[in-house]
Amino acid sequence: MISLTIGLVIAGASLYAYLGTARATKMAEAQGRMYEDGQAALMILTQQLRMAGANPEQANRVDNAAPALSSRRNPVYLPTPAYAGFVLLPPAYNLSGFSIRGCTTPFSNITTASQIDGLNCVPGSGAQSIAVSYEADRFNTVATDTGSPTDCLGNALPVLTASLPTVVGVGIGIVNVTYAVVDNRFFINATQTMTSLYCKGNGAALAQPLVDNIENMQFSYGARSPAAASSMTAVAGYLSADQVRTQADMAALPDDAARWARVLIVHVCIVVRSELPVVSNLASASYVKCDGTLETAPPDLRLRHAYFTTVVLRNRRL
Amino acid sequence: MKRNAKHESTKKMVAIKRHCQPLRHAPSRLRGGYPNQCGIVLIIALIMLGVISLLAIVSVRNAASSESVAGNVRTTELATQAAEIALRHCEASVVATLSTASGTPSTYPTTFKSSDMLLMTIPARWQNTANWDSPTSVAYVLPLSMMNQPGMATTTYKRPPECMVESVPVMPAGVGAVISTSTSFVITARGFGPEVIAASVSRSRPVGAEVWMQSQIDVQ
Repeated sequence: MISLTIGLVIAGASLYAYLGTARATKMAEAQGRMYEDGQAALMILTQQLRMAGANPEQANRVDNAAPALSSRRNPVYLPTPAYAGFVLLPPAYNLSGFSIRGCTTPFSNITTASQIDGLNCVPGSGAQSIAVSYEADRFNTVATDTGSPTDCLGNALPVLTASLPTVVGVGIGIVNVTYAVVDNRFFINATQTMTSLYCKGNGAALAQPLVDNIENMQFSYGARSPAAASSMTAVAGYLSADQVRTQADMAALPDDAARWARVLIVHVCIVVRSELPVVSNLASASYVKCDGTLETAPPDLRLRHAYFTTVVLRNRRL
Repeated sequence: MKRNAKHESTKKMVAIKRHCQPLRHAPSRLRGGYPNQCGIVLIIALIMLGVISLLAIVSVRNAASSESVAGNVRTTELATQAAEIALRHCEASVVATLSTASGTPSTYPTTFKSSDMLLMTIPARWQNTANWDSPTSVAYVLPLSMMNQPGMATTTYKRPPECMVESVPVMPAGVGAVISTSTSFVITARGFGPEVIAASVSRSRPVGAEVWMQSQIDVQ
């Protein structure tokens, strides 16, 4: 009888210990996984944002002195070069006014707009979206086996051809140069069972998930004051994507391209959730949201955490 | 034959059952051993041990994978920081060298020489790893003392980052079609993780974390 009791007590204790350990392991695993998901998503976004606006100078180009119309760079961004003999192919391609563009909702035509300039933004709340563009080559993107630059999903990019004045021997000649421009758009897409960070590149028509379990994505933009002198690179304040367009000083600028060109810094926040519901009650599932306030009514028993980073747009030429 | 087999199995069942039943006569202790017990505690203990061992193995595997992820992040970050240091140092060195050449001596401390500023070839040298990883490499190697804090017992980096500075030839307008090679520079830097060993004499391709960065300087 005594041994039976002791045996039962020991069996009960080990069962209890097992259940406790299993629960703790599950929680630790969920937290570890969330951290890794968050880091993967932030790393992708950080790298893409740092590349935004990349358009390096090329060798042996003829500079026509006006920096805006300079032909040192491959034609990617407006204004259109104004020198003799300039041709850009395909003719349907338009030089972009944006190297970065955000919206407080997913752009309404995020998967269908052919270029970053054609994106439509309907202001709202919820998960935000962002689009970046830059000149891609086989060194700054993951190249295909044939050496083509790729978009965020690894699809080869369409080739652009421009006829530009170039140094040929000791004189100047019109030469065809080929290059590629990438236009990556990031947004959150939630289905019934999964919510993921998606990307749509200009290499293929389909958007695909990059990182799972990303529930929300918020951006705020550090902008230079429109009133500041062009040599001033200080950030006057942080604005939401809506405020970039509507804030009084920004609204005074002629168009959206000029407004987004004032953005120097992007503050990124993502909310990662655990794959499974691991907490025992809703009170324990509350978390601090991207805006710094506490979410006291979480939708389910999943763990959630907001991760932040701030990225300086290194290719912003002032 | 069939019937025989059935009969045998029934017999076995009975035998097992009987083994577990307590004996009516003679206290078992006097006879030695405990024939009235079935060893169920041993079985339960073994099952428990098995479950806990499994749990422990899973935990160890999870911890090991998390640790390797964290370790990879660390090496990548350190390699990125090294590349960043090289990029900034080389940018400042180019500015200092140009400033000194134009008659305003710079006080920026650097081992970078004006001969480290290369004239760009087509395609550019930085695009070919043979120009980096060969005994005749044209890359500028930062002194290792810039990377590791002096006086520390352990050093972080074994191989210092490198950079390659190439001047971009352009033809400015209105100067009689003369190519200028002193207005625009492309700086390519690469940094290595802490696990990358010091370069050998042959400067063979490094193994480990490697991060590349590039910037451009325009002289106005």
